[in-house]
This record gives sequence, C-alpha cells and structure tokens, in this order.
Amino acid sequence: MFKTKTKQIKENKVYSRPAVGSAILLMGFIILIASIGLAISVGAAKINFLTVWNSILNYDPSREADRIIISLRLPRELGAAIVGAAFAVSGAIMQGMTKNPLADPGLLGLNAGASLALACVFAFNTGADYFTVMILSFLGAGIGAGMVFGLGSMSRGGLSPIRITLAGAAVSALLSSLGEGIALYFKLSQDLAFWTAGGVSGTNWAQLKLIVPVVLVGIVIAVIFSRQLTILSFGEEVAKGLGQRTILTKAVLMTVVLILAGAAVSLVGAIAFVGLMVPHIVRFLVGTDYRWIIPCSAIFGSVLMVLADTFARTVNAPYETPVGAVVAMIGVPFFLYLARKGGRKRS
Amino acid sequence: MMSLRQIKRIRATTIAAIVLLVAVFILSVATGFASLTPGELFRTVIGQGTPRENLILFEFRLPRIFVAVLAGMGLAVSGAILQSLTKNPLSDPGILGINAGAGLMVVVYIMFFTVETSSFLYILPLFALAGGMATAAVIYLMSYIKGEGVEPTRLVLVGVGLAAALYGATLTLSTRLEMEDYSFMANWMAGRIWGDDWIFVLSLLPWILLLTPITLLKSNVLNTLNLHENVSIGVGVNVGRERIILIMIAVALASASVAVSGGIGFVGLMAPHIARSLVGPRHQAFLPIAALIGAILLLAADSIGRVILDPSGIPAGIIVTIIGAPYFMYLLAKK
Amino acid sequence: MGRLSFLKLIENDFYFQIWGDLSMKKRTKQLLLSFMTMLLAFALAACGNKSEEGTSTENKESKSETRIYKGEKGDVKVPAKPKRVAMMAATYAGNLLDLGITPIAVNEYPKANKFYGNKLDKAEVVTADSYEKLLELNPDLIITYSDDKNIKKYEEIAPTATLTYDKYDYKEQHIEIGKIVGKEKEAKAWVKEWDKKAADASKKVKDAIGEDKTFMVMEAYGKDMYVYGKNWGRGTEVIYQALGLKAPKKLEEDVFGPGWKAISTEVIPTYAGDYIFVGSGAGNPDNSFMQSDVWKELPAVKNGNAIKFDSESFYFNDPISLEKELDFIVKELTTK
Repeated sequence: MFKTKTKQIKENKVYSRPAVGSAILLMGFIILIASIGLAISVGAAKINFLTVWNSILNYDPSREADRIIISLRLPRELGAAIVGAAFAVSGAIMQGMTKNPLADPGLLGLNAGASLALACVFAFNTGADYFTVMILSFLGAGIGAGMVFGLGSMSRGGLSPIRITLAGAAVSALLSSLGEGIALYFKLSQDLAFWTAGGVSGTNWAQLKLIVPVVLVGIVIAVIFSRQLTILSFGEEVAKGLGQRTILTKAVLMTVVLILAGAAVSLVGAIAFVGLMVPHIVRFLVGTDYRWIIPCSAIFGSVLMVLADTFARTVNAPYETPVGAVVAMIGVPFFLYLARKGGRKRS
Repeated sequence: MMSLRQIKRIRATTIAAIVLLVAVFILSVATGFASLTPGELFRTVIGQGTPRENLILFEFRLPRIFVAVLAGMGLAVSGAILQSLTKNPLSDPGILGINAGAGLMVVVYIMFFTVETSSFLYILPLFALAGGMATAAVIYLMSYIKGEGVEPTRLVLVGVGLAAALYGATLTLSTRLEMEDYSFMANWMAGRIWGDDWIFVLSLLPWILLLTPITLLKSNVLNTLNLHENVSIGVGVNVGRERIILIMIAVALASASVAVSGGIGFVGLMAPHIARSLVGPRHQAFLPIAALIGAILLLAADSIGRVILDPSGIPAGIIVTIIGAPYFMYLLAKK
Repeated sequence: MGRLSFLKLIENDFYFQIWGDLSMKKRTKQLLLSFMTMLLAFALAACGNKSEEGTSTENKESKSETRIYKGEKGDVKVPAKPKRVAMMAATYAGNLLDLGITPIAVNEYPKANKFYGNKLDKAEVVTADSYEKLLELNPDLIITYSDDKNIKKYEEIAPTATLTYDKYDYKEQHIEIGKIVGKEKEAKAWVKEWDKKAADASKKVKDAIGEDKTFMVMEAYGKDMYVYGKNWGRGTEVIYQALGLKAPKKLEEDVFGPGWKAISTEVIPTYAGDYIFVGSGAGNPDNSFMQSDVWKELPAVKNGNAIKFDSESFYFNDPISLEKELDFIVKELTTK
C-alpha cells in the first residue's frame, strides 16, 4: 500500500525544495517585520524610525506623531499583512483544487457577492457604520460562494473543477451586474469604487480584532490540510486511489477559502490579483508541494500587500493611489514573465 | 454522422432564432416612451410620417436598435472564435483585453482631453477602438515566443494578467474624476449603448458584414483547430497562420462592437454557449445561431433598459447579464 | 443519435467531438445565404432610412415670438418668454427656480437637493439618454452643458442653449441663465441683493468669531478624503467668497488652484482650519476617520467647531441653495 502510494506520487512528479522553502519562510518573516516598520515610518506625514518604536512602546495621545502611528498606520499595515496572507492562501488552495492556473477566490463568486451586498447597504441603509458594512459584505461573499456551490453540485456529476469555474463565472457575472445596476440606479457607483479601491486605508483596531483571529484560524487549517491538498492536486482519481476522502477534503478546503477570502474582501474589497499571482510565484520558487506552498504564500502575500500599500500611500502623497492598482502594476510584469516561461517549459 | 434529426433541429433552431430576432426588432421599434401607434408606425415606415414621427423612428429608435443588433452579433461571433481557439469555455472578448484597453482609453480621453462636443461624440469610439486593438496586439506579442508561435493557454494567461493591470489603471484614474464624469464612465464600462446615431451603424456595419461570413467560411478550420493540434496538422491545416487570422478577426469584431456599444462582456461569453447547447458544437451550425442569439440578447436588453426601466437608465450590458446569467445557470444545472 | 449535450461539451475540456463528415458544404452554403440575406436586409433598411431623414424635422416652433440669444456657439433662436424649459444640466435647476421658472424636466441630481423643498415635484426626471421622454414633454427651450453628448438630438426637439460650467463664477452663471430665459434684469437684481446680504452676514460672522479664523471644507468619499477650494460648491462660494473668510495657508496654496484635492487621513491636521465643515450623507457610511485619535485631537474638533453639512444639498451653487447655505453657515458660526 505504502509502496504504491510513493510510486504514484513519484509518477506525478511532486518536487519540493524544503531548503528554499525554509529559507523563504524565515527570510520572509524578517522582511515582513522590517517592511511593516518601514511602512509605518513613511507616509504622507513624515516620521522617523525611532519615533515609531517610541510610540509603539509608550503611546502618548497628545503627540501628533503618536496619534498617526497608533490610530492610523499600525492598524493599516497589520490589516494589509493579514489581508495579503488571506488572499494568497485562498488563491493557492483554489489553484490546487481546481488545477486551473487562473483560479482565484474571485471565481467563487465571493467578490461579486460582497460588492452586491455593499451596493445594497449603500443604497438602502445609509446609516450603517463601517463595522456593519464589513459584516454584511462577508455575508454577501458567503451567499455568492453558496450559489456557486449549489449550482455546481446540483447535477449528478458533482463538483467538477470545470463546472465550478463555469458556475463561478455565471454567478459572479449575475451578482456583480445586480450590484452595478443598483449602484448606477442609486448614483452610488463612485462611492462603491472608492470603497473597493480604497484598500486598507481606514482600517481600525475594532475591525482587526474581528478579522485577525478568523484569518489565522483559516491559515492554520489550510496548513494542516496542505498534504491532502497536494494529493488532491494530482487529480481526483489519484487522490481517491490513495485512499483520500475527497469530498470531505474538498469541503474543508472550500470552507477555508470562503472564510479567508470573505474576511479579506470584507475589509478591503476585491484585490484579486494577489490570490492569482502569489501562488504562481511561490510554486516557481519552492515546487509543487502544498505543505510549502501554503505557508510561503501566506508570508509572501503579506509582504506584497504591505509593500504595495506603502507604495500606494507614498508614490503620490498626500493623495492615495488605490492599492489594487498598485498590486496589479507590480504583479503584471512578473506574471507575464511566468506565463512565458511556463509556456516554454510545457511545450 | 449527421443524423436527419439533427439537420432538422439545426434548421428549426435557425428559423426560430431569426423569427425571434425579427419579433424583438419589431417590438423594440414599436415601443418607447413617446407613443407611436401601429398605424402611425406603418405610415412612418412607408414615408408618410409627420416630422415628429420621423424624428422618433428614424433618429431616436432605429439607429440605436441597429447598433445593438450589430454589436450583439459581433461580440457573439468574436466570443465563439475565441472559445474555440483557446479551448477555454470562459473565453470572451474580454480575455484579449479589449474591454479593459477600451475602458482605459475612455478614461484617459475624459481626463486629459478637452471635451469638445462636436468631435467628442465621434472621437471617443475611435479612442476605444484604438485602445482595444492595441491591447490585443500587445497581448499577442507578449505571448509570442520564437519558434513556438502563440500557444492558446499562454495567450489566456497573458490576457488575464494584462487586463487586470489595465483595469487597475482605469480604476485609479476614474476615482479621480468628478462625479458626473465618473457616472458617465461607470455607465460606459457597464455597457450603455453609446453610439445611437446612423454614423455608428454605418461604421459598424462593414466589419460585421465582412468578417462574419469569413468566419463562417472558416467553420471547418475552427472545427479542426478545436481538436488536438496534431489532428489539425494532420488534416492539413496551417495551424499557426489560421490561428493568427482568426484571432485578428475576433479582435476586429469585438473592438468595433465595444467601441460603439460600450463595455459589454457577457454576450460574447454566453451567446456561443447557448447556441452550442441548442445545436451542438459544429461551427457551421452554431456560429450563425450564436450571432443571432447575441443580437437578440443585446437588443432585448437595450430595449428593456430604454422602454421599461426608464428613467433609471440601466445600461444594456447589465440587463443582458441579469437576463442571461440565470439561463446560463439553468443550462449548467440541467445536466 | 441525440444532440451533444452541453455538459459533455464541458467535460471534454472543450475538445469538441465532431459529428459526421466535416464537409457539409451544402448546408453551410444555405445557412450562409440566409444569414447574409438578413444582414443585407438590415443594411438596406439602414441606407433607406438615411436618405429619408433629411426631410423629417425643422418646422417645430414658428408661431410664438422668438428672440436671439448670443450663445457660446453662435446665436440660438429662443422663445421670448420660454414656458416649458427642460434643464438637462445638473447644477442649474435652482437658478431657474430663483428666476421664477419651474423646469418641466431636470436630471436626477437636483431632485436630491433638500433646499428646493417641493419646488421640483412637478418636474419630470429625464436621464441623459431618454430623449424620447424629453420629446413627449414638448419643451420650448432646452438648457444643458456644452459637453452634453446629446446636444444634436436636443436641437431637433427644441432650441437648445449650452453653457460651459467652469467658464463662469456663480454670479456670472446666474446672469447668463437669466439672459437665456429672458430674465437678465431679475438675475442682476439677485446678484446685487446677494452682495448686500453677504456683506451684512460677513460683518455679523466676523463680529462673532473674530477676523482671522481659518476654514476648511472637506468631504469623505468611501475611504478617501476631499478638500475643496473656493469655487467648488459645498458652501465654498459662501465661505471663501461671499463671507470673505480665510483658508489655512497650506490649503490656499495647494487646493485653491486645482479647485479640489484628494488627501490622506494622515494629513487632515496639515490642512485643518479653526473651523471644519465636513460633508455627510449621500450614501456614505464611512466615517471611521472620525473615530480615530487623529480626528478627535484636532483643535477644531476639540472646540466643537467641526460642523456637518448635508452633501447632497450643499453640492449646488445656485441662488436658492446659496441662500440656504449662507443661513446655515451664519447660524452655525454665530450661535455659539
């Protein structure tokens, strides 16, 4: 039994680079801390490194620098880190499960559901505060994903990746059109655009208290199931042959994707490119074993988002550039390079 | 083997689609906010109308209706070509960055050029056309590798990547627009039929009239390209050349359509799927039906937006999706 | 043999199965023929209509008295006393109301302005592309911005006068609209009266709060902040022009030129004045910046000098809105 297992895994050429992986994890963590530090000290209002330490260690609300650091920048950068990790990990899971290199959480109808919910909130209940808005967009994301799964599993064939993808495209199109329609009808589309483009600005401690535990739990579950995901990425038949209960595994993994992406979308809106891009880059570096891909994606996603957000705040200060745009700009050259390289390897 | 039943089915479906299109067309002509009774309508059609009736029919309604019909056809055929070439059921003109490129150019135009009414109306579609085509060209060049040509999977990857970047840029720029400019932009992106003048009909017509029949003539090539590449080569198809020609046709059709119609995406995705589910995957059979369905969908959507939902002014692109997506889902769930 | 099912198609990963022989030339030709015939029919219909169109319009208005308005793009023949005016420009509806003309059609923005009360209840909402509805309303004059895409269509419905928004300040714009509708005298009278009223108010405010207090007008959109210059609606005309109140130096330098500026929450303190007018409402649930210590510690906020206004109404700078804005601002500044 064990022999056939290893043989089958070998046939599917799982290659991993544990050394590179550990190095990335360690370096990544250091870089993450450093970049958060850097991110806090630069910005529209200039503050030096020492002041940053000083104000984190003993906060004095009467100093303007301290107020900016503690009530604006620190929550913002933590938010960026957590959101980046959540998007990247959920993207990695999606790509592993569907074996589709273009899969990202947006395909599950999460973004569309969230934006529809947002449009409804803006249109029908202008009194809602930030917190309510967040909860409702999380619910919207859940409804979107629920529709995709419901539709995908309605038939006898069950949840095949291609069917999920198609269902996702249809549901996303429907929900985002409804959202757009509502937004245009009520003249809200610019408010909505500002909201989704605004990224992590405006993140505060109350939101973080809600989001951080959720995301951390999601990532831990993802890491626990990463071995199963590697097996699943060989294909469903293989996974079944290896004795995996594929339905259970897929259900758990999909739930994790929903939690992670839902939480992230509710905080910053749809920044889908992180989820699409980071797993590709990580796979290129550490190989195809998801035990390495998932944690490395988390770190890599965090660093990317923190740096992107810092860039977004500083490149044209005091005016904020939408962070989603920055992520896309940074990511695209790399992505194009990968696409060309990958294409060459395959043929 | 093509069974008799299938031939009958194809014929019946084609006729049904044509009848449906004509019916939607007539309904759309006959309805609108300004009242025009069937009698008045008939009088106007045969050239006996009052100035007011002529104005309503020939200046207000017909141009917009024709633009919707033609753009629907163009997008549907373009989508069908792309889906077959890339062997990807989710391909649509958007995948070649046409919507994204056109959208970016529209924002750039609104932001950086003085808006002179007389030229604005006609220059904007030119900008959109240039944006769409340039983006498609860049995507094509970026996915071209010497000795290998353009491999479809890579084309899709590069397309999605570049489209994401362009949307990012569009978003960045458009949040800086004044409220009314933004509202215009949002409507354009959501697919409000922009060109509602005869000049737009005339500028779109040659593209459709020329390229749709060419595509139809290439049905067999499309059929073979859809199989594995080796099969195509075996059958004697020059894969590389045919692919380039077909992609160029798809880009031209979609860019021309998007330029006058605004950013409408779902028609190109859905119409081919629906057509295929009705008559099967042979291009000879489903391409004309896809074109008809595209026209029906877009015309119906625009008419609903124009007639029923006035004065809300919901763009056709949104209504098309709201009508089309559930049907698409039904097809998915049925089997 | 049944038809190839949709799903089969998908599960084969789009490697479609091809049924039967590949050359079905006859059928293709037939289909092609019918298809082209249809397109041809469309083309013919289009061309046919084109040739007729020339004869269609023109003799719209001729009976009632007309007068020439020297507009930006040449002379426009307008009715001497227009009765049914359609106002397709968002910001000018109030100017018409002040001149005693209730527009028969407006677009959707002025309807949200609470300052107009029920004065616009009878005006129909006509969005940009519903020119058919406009035709049904039978206007005798249409006024719109000079960058409106549908001017050509409007001109076929009724005489159309156009204005370029940023060519006039708020007083000039009122007089210009007065000229269009034949009430230039009334418009000039309002400007005179307004100047007097503003001077009184200015004195009253300066007596109450002192000469050299500074003011900032801002709004939050989604997660972004906006600061406005001296001519960008939202009460800026009243504060900086009519009342002659000052802006903080930095704000004057950075914002008065471009008219408005998007800023980060972090630099609110840099631009903040002794008084802050902050827009609220308009489908805008985000005021999380008001919970941050950066906001709470601003001198203006601490002293209770942060004043909220209704964004949807303050957006405008026509006489009716301006007078209400003036009353609101004077009241806020003097009753403390």
